[in-house]
Amino acid sequence: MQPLKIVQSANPMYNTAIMEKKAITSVQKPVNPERAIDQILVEKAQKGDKKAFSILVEKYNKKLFRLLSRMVRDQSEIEDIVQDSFIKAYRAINNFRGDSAFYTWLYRIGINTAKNHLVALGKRPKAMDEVEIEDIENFETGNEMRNYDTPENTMMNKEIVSAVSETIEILPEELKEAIALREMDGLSYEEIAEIMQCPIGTVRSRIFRAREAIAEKLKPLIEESNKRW
Amino acid sequence: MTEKNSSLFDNEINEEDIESLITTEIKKPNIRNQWLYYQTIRDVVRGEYSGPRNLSKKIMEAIDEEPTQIRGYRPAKELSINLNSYNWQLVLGFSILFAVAFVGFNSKTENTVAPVQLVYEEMPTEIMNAHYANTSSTANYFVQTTFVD
Repeated sequence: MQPLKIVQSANPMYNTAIMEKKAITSVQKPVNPERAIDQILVEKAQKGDKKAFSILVEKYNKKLFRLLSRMVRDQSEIEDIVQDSFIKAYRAINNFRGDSAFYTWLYRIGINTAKNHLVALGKRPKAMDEVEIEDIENFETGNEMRNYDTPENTMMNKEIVSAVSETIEILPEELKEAIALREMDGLSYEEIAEIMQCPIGTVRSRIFRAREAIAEKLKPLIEESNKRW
Repeated sequence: MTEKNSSLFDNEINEEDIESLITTEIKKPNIRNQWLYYQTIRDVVRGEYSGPRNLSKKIMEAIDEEPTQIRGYRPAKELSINLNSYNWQLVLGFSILFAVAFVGFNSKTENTVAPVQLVYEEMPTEIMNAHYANTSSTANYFVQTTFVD
């Protein structure tokens, strides 16, 4: 699947600033915000707050699924392994000391669970060497995801992709720019605020409004699609 | 749907907002779907979309069945011996302990240490008779007498 094309902004500030993106993003931040937020959620889970753990489940279940699809081919098996991995992580949450990022720890559990699963089935686990494990934190791509969809699901997925791209196209310019800078370029709110020359609160609001507008179009399609899965 | 949840999705939220999100917002209906929509948007924009599957509901149903984990607290389930799993080390340990205790309780205690003469003193006969009458022969300090006429 090709990345969605988003038209370049008419705002000259955006184009100038995007050229300076390298300089902006090269500024080292003292703390990884994702890791810091995860640590807060983990500490709450360690105090017995299951809702905090549920946020971690929301954050990482799809990423873990994609990662494990490198090792296991069958989709329903991957789903079981993902579920087992989260249950193991929850049971061991008190042993997590924050020496690594939560998702690195979770993915190690996932990989070990997948290996054990394959061994139990008499299959030889696909080797995932140390370099790959070290690279887990940067793992994003879903390129190796195998497609087991029925023609109906494939059609529905195409509709979902179209709905997202068409809705983005008709968004007000400032919302389109904000969501593009966030989702395509992966910029932080601070960086987007600099580029768009507005307060961070405004960026926060624009991204939220853009997402809500797209989500409104997605809702009926995803609900329909979930009935089929 | 909330702006805080959108910020959390981007890891652009402060600790206070996480607190309020967990205590109040997350209880609102459909809040979980918000993440599914946001993730779908992200995946589509990045060309990584592979379907709307979201396992979180199923996973959380399973985790709700689990005992709540609290640091420093070990639930009774963990403390009890799981007889379903064959923990041979535990069984072997208890067997050895039981065998040692059994032998210890049933063996006759015998003082095999040779008596040591601590003092030598002539004692009146009535004192020695009283000592024999009231002191066990296995006592640590048993006066061994040699009657000298």
